[in-house]
Amino acid sequence: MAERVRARVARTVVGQDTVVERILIALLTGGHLLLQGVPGLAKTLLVHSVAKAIDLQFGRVQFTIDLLPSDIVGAEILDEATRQFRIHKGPIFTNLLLADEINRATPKVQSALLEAMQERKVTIGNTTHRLPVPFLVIATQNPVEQAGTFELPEAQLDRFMLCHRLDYPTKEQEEEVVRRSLKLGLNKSADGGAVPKSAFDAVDEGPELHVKDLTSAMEAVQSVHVSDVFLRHCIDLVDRTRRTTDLDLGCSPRAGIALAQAARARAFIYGRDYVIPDDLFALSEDVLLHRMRLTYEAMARGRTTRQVLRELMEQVS
Amino acid sequence: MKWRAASLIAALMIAACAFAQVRREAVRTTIGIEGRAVFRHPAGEKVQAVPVDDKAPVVVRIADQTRDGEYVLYDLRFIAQYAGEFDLRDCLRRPDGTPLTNAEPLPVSIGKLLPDDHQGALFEIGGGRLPRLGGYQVVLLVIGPLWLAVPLVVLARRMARPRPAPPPRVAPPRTLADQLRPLVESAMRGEMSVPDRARLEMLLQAYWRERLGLGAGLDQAGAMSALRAHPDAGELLAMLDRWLHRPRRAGEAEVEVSAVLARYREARPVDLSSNAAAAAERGRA
Repeated sequence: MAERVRARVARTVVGQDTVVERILIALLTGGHLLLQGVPGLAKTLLVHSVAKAIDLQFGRVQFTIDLLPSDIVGAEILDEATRQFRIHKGPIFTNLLLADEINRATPKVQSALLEAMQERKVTIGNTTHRLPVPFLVIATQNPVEQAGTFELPEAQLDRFMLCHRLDYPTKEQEEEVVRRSLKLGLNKSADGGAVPKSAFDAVDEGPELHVKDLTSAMEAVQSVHVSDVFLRHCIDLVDRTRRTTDLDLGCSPRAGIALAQAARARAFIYGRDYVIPDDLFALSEDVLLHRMRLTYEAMARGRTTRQVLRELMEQVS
Repeated sequence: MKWRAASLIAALMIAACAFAQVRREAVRTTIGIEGRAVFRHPAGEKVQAVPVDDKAPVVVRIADQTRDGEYVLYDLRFIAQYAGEFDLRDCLRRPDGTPLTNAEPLPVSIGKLLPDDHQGALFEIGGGRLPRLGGYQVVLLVIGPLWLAVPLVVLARRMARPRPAPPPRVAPPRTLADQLRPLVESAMRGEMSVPDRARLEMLLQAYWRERLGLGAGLDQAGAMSALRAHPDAGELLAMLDRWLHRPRRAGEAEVEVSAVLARYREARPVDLSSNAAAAAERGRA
């Protein structure tokens, strides 16, 4: 399943294998994903491609400072014809929601989305509505241009199962990106006009998988074996984040759960029915780093959470 | 008789008036302070101030002149550089340069502001509160030895202080091999708790990371990939996966770990210098 999705996404997006893997892990475990990266790394295209490949409904909301909770969740509006209120569902009623630049919205909007992520239902007026299944939020944050943004507090960051930091593509990958963009051609309209095609136009093939395939895969992930020894490694690592003097805030129990669940999904993607320490090491940064906060003293010494985590992982050894 | 007395009185009055004219009271001022005097002279004869240089005892200027009948009243301003009695008439002349010898005398008296024995000091310097003991050399002779004595005293006290006892010998930290040995023996005996198994696995990984010099600059995930690619380490990790993580299939025998772990029972501490050399070699490659 993972290989088929990867192959489909690779037709439109060059590289970014790790991000595709993280999106699949989030889909397979029902977690949510936060992507941190500068603009232009094909985050939207990537998510759009994954949604198309698995036949999922896809919605995208560009978060801005004037966004209201009702712009995401929906609202009751008065129908002039019937003189009655009717529910207008917001873009959150989808399978895969891309919340672009989530830190640009006010905390009120952020918490409305994050509550929906947690409870998987929203209340409009007096009626509570369940969100579609599966439901996955992929939020993005730009690590630069922090002026006028509202940083997500630790409690809300904790709701994201994974936080992946995107990097620039390699030179070879970037060359391929440019080469492909040169071959896209034009989109001609019936009235004789034309516009250059974008990479999004290439994402118009039929789905590779369907929601029921995803459900089967999710069931398979549930049956991946997690040994007691592996659990011990997870718990030891999470515990060490709470006891190190370099961290003001260690990881919550939710981090341990996320680590084990994500490891199971990774094992499934790699064709194993059991997890191994490699899964722990591969996922620990994406699962734990955004849940850790440095002390002021450690910051003053120029330490980073990544350094601290790597040392803690070596201490586990 | 009456006529004689009247003539005598008149003569005395005329004489008194004349004397009063002659003994005109002098204008008073002090050195450096401008004084003012009025000079009366017939209108038919012009008067001007004598040009002066910086040595002149009195400098006079005509500030104003006013006609008074047959006379002109000159308003004179003068500044004296020396104390004494002067006649301002000497500082005036006709336009042709001739002195005004026939004019009435114009005496001025210039007084002193300072006493005659003044030395010219502007401020009086009072004496110090303490009596001065000798000159600069005396002060140096007293302060210098004191200044030198301070470090000598400090040095002497430091040398006199009892030396701290040498630090107690600390046992060297247990090497990975030391930590591995009891765990390996427990594993071979088949008596291991879950925490011990977890510790054994991580110690074996650390042992190989150290042995292959994978510690610095490589994260754990990268190091694991390198270990799996290594023939010996890869074999060990595969065995650990089967033993510790993979669920046992139906009818599958228990994983035999003794043979592989026996190699680590007598594992030697890793020579880190050779690891560094190996890492450098890999970096060059």
